[in-house]
Amino acid sequence: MSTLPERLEASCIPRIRNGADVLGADLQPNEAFLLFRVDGRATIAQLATLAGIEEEEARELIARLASVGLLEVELASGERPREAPPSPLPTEPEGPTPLSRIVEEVGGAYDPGELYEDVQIPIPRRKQILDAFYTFEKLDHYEVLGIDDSADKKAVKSAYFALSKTFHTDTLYGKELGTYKQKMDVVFKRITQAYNVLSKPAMREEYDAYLRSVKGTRAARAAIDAALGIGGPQAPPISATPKPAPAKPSPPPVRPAAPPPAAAPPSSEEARRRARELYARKLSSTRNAPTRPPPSGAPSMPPAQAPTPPPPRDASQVARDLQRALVSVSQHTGGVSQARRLAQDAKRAEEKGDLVTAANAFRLAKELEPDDREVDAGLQRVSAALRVQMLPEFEKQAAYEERNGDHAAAAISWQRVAAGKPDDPISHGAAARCLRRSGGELKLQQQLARRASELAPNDVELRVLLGQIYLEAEMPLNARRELDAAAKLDPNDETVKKLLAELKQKLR
Amino acid sequence: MEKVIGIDLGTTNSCVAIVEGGTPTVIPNRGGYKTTPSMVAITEAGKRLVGHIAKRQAVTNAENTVYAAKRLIGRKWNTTQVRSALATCPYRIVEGPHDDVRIQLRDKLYSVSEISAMVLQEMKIIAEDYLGHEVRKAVVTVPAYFNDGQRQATKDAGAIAGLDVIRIINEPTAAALAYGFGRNLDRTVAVYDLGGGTFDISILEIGSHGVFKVISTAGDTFLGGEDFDSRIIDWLVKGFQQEHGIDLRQDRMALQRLKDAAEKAKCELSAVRETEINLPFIISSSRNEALHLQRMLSRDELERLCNDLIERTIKICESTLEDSGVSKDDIEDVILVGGMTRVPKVQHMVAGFFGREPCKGVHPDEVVALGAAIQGSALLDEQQEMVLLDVTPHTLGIMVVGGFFEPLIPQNTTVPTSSSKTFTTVRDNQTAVKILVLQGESQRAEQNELLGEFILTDLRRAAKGQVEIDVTFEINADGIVSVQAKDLETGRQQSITVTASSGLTQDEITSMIDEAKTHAVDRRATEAFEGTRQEAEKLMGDIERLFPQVEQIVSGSDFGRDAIEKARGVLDRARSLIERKDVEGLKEQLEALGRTQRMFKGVIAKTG
Ligand SMILES: Nc1ncnc2c1ncn2[C@@H]1O[C@H](COP(=O)(O)OP(=O)(O)OP(=O)(O)O)[C@@H](O)[C@H]1O
Ligand SMILES: [Mg+2]
Repeated sequence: MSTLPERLEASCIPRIRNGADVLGADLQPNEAFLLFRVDGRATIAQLATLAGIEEEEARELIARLASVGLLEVELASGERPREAPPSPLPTEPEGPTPLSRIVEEVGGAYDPGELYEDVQIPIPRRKQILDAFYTFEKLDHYEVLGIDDSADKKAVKSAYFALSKTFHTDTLYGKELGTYKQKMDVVFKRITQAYNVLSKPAMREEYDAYLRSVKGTRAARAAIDAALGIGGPQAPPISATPKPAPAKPSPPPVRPAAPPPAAAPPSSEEARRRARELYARKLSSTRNAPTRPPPSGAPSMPPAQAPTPPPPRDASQVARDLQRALVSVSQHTGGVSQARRLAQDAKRAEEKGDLVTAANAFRLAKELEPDDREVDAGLQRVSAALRVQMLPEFEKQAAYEERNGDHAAAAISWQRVAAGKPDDPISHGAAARCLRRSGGELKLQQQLARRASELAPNDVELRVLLGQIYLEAEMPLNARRELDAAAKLDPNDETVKKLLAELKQKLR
Repeated sequence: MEKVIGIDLGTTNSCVAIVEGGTPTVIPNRGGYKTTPSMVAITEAGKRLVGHIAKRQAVTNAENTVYAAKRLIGRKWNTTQVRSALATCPYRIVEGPHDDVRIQLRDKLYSVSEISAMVLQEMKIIAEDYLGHEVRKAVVTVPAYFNDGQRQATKDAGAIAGLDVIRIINEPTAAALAYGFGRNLDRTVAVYDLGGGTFDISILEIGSHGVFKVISTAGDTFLGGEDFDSRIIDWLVKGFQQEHGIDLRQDRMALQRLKDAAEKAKCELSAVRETEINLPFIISSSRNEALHLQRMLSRDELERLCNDLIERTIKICESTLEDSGVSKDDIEDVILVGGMTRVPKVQHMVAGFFGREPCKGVHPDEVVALGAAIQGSALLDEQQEMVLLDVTPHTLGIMVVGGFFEPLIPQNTTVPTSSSKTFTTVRDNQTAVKILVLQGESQRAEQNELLGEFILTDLRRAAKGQVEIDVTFEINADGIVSVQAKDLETGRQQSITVTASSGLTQDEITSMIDEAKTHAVDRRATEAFEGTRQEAEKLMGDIERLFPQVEQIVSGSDFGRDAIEKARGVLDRARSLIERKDVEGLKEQLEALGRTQRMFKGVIAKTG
């Protein structure tokens, strides 16, 4: 079946051929540049304008892309090939498949501007880097190294050393790396972090306990954070005024590349699972055989040596299943009555003492019906109870995170603890301290530290902390009050003396 | 592929190596030695001497001969290390313009980087003579425990020497690289490196994939053979003082002789149990009579004098192991590096500490340069499957209110690495934020090493708290720190001014590069000139020797007198060419000299 008309008119509309192996194709940058602008709607003339090239050049490139079977070109008259190709995606039954969808289907949405950046790195290597860069944040240490959680020391070392060779920039010394340099550095840092923990028995044991705790409390955290408004590491902390989103720099679009926090509790279980499977697949294909898994087929089947065995059906699993079921039902039945039904389910669970399920059901109900007073009250009530129930776990998590220098995560965990123990100076103080270390909002630091100090007025360290925060916020009078109080409590404290000296200079 | 050399820039000795056809080899200097003393001197005539020749004339030119410059590189003037060097070095150390250190030789001041550059340049020339072509790229080693300032100053030295230093690597790591190269090992090793000026200990994992990962490193950049020598000198000076009431330290030449003798005795005691130190005519007494120094030193005495120094290295080994989370039993081999590991007591204590005999396979003087060459070729050669993962030896952080040090990147973090921190304005319309960046392990900022003051300037004018600057602190694979800042809202890169850093300014480096270049040319020119001069002087000698005889024979005729005048002119011209160091002119003159010499010989032969 020829898909190339006799003559390529400027008004012809090219589109991606169904099933074309776009990502496996051997493309020149200019071809890729044009190819990724093909959406099945734009004509060749329009594509030329979009890509900023001459029409003639666009025509030649399209002809080549068509000749290697990547594109088919619709006739200028607008008549379609009689047999419309069966669309691979039922959600978009009409029209040709936009490339972005295909890319996503093949696994891992590559931004073409990024994938085809003008750098001296082979395309398969770029994909490895991008895959890792965008998925690692959601993975735990084992998943990052692509190993089983029973892997022995040798296996850990071997996995890390092999990955080092892919992600260390020295292996591409002297090459133009563009934005890949920073990405490789971030990924390398992440695998190194995973290795440093897993290669040392004591640290690994601690981490395993932490991971179990995080996994076991995932559902509970989601509910509690929804009630408190502290979401995840990305969500704004309590009472924080939302920051304006950073302006996106102009093309190519750059996703924020913040270094991933240590084993950050992932934002959504589903995203996490997808990331894990995707990465495991990539890892196994790059390690064992250079062939990619077929784009279609069972898309979410993990490879044979999948890194995670099916987890036991714990509370989080239950909640997840429930959530999935409820969401899909709600899509069919429409919101309002569904919210009622959820609230009822929640109450039943609450009566049975299953606080996790209850809290999550309330949370989902609230998402559907944000203004329902009863739902909100239920969520607050249940999550408050849950908060208390989960306290020991959260405390463990907070302590681990702080010990490992992950201050951003620790600040959130300590806030969870503080919320469960409103009269506890230690957790409030720790939350303030961690927030300070992670560069969190000064105002929130202040609130937490002040509360802590109110609860334990004779604690010198808390006074000093508050004093430091005031000093940093350029509120010298408040700082002085706290530091004077601290000096009264312990006249020999060197730190207090230093701070007061600095303050005097400032006030002068 | 472009050639890259590896240079071990040592406190006492330097060494250069290259990978040729896949095999790392040390390049000998013209004297056939594989290491070259890291010594630089300026002669009375203003001539620059480097290496063995500088060492040989040190006693007669002590004030203008620099040794152990590495102990001063990248250091601030106001430090105990510089103080101690001031007290013991025969050359003049003075304060530089950036709170740094300068060395005065004759009437000129040199930065320490310039002195090191002279040594690097010498190593470059050794390699070039061997290879027969120019070399531009180099990997240079530094002690693992060097801080940012010392690394930066070493890189500057490379630039001044006309080298493109593609990477700075740590000496113990380089040693491990040479040890594991091509052997497909899978083990954990400790490298104990005690050289002339510094001590380093590193724990590494070597993997079968050609990956070398440092787990932890520690050291002391002011602990080495020089300190052992000082102990012997102290002992000698004290003894002499007791006997004659004279302080030998007051005499620079005596001090230099003491230093040589102390080092010699120390080295001898590695092989024998007792040695004699004999320095006749070391100084004259107040009554102007010559005094001699003559003493026996035993190995036991030496060990007693230096025991605490060795203990110090063992303590550092202990804490490094602890930090690394590796137990002694996990260490599968111990590699000894540096000339000082030839001292029996050092070997004994290291073996005792690790509970195993150190590996015998590596050459302690050459292994570091070999490793540097291997790393160089691994970087440039795409076929080479080798990666080196090193760590930063010091914690990097900033100063926060109260003069406290807030760590951002802990020590022993694998490099490259980075850490970001958000800074906000605390006043309305605040346009600048100052950040003090430091390195060290103390909680008090002032006790750590200040790397620089970074001032974010031209901030957006806005209400307080509205401007948020994301500052990224980065440590690259050289172990060198850089800082970048970005306005979080606009995404705009924020300009940074660095002040209060003790390094050389770019302008200074540029002018030093120019000067070093003229020296390289000068040196090559000198060599060519020397050859021609010798040839010319030999002919001139012949002519001058025959002159009276020939003059007597031929002066009877006009023709003869004419010839004599001409010969005199040829000699005069040759002399003035030699004086002006005009190589080209002198070369041309050789012909005239040759003709004259033949003519003179002919006259004598005919008449005689
Ligand atoms: N046989 C020996 N016995 C004792 N000491 C020796 C012996 N041979 C050399 N040394 C000492 O070793 C030191 C030089 O070692 P080396 O050449 O490894 O140092 P370096 O590389 O120049 O210095 P560093 O690595 O500290 O910068 C000198 O102090 C020298 O006296
Ligand atoms: Mg050395």
